[in-house]
Amino acid sequence: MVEKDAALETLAEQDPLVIGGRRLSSRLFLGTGRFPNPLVQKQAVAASGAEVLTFAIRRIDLEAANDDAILTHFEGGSWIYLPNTSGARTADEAVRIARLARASGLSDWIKVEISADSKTLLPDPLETLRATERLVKEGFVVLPYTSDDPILCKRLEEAGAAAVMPGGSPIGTGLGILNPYNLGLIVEEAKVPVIVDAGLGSARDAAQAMELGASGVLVNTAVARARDPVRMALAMRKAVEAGRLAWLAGRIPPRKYASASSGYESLMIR
Amino acid sequence: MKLTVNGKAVEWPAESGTLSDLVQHYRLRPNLVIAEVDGRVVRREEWPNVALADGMTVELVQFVGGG
Repeated sequence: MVEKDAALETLAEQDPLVIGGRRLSSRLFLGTGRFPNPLVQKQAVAASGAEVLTFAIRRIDLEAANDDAILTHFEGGSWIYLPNTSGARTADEAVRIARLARASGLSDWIKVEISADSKTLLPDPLETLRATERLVKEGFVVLPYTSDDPILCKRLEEAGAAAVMPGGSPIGTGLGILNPYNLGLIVEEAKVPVIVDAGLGSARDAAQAMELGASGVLVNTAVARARDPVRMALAMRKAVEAGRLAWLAGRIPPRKYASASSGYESLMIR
Repeated sequence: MKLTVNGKAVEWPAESGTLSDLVQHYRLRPNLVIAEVDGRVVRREEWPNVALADGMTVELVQFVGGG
């Protein structure tokens, strides 16, 4: 048993994910919003094994001082911080938030997230591309959250995105991967890592993303709002590992009719 | 002097002061604070050199939970 686990560890080491020059051993990115409390969040982060954590940038509540400062819960860790530009509706706003995020001194990674529609929070493709172009020029490691459009993902890659993050379905819906065909095309064409972001509901969605060839997944609500976020974080971790291994192993093609596991040539009764 | 801090009108009691003084006034831990003055990001090491001025708009922001 121990030997088998060691073999899996080695496999993970042989198959690292590299983004912006950083070598990652976990292909699961975890968001930090909507957890029931800081303790559960911390345990879920640990259970997930995630190295990349996402955050948003918002005003400090000056009446409550640092009571709500989330980073106090992450001091001393070695996570890679991936702040997002959520709330931005234009490239200008996203660039402004990105510059603020970088001034934290914690990270020059930025998840471009530009939503023009409050009902679906779907990304605005044109503004996302514009913001990506500008932020790449400013030296950011840019990971745009994007529609699951193969051509747009290609354009973002050409603009210098360090990875592309197509959504499976709208943020927080748990609808899973609505267009596996598109996602397959994105993976086929991409020369940068593809991280499936948004809309995943449970472990099977994460495994499906990985089996479609994604380099990783980003989940938040599916973990934070699960009945037991810590268990779901662990489930996501295992699903991502299983899906990745299955992708590398190469699944059998589906076929319509049965094919026996044992041949009939040496059957004794006929 | 009158400042706008995080969207609210604030009467700064002293004649002068710096961005560092403002952050200290709210008892914020500087390493968790990101500051923007009149739309321009001001890096932490610059705070002591930024004099508060009447009519200034300051944003004090931080990382919060998010996906």
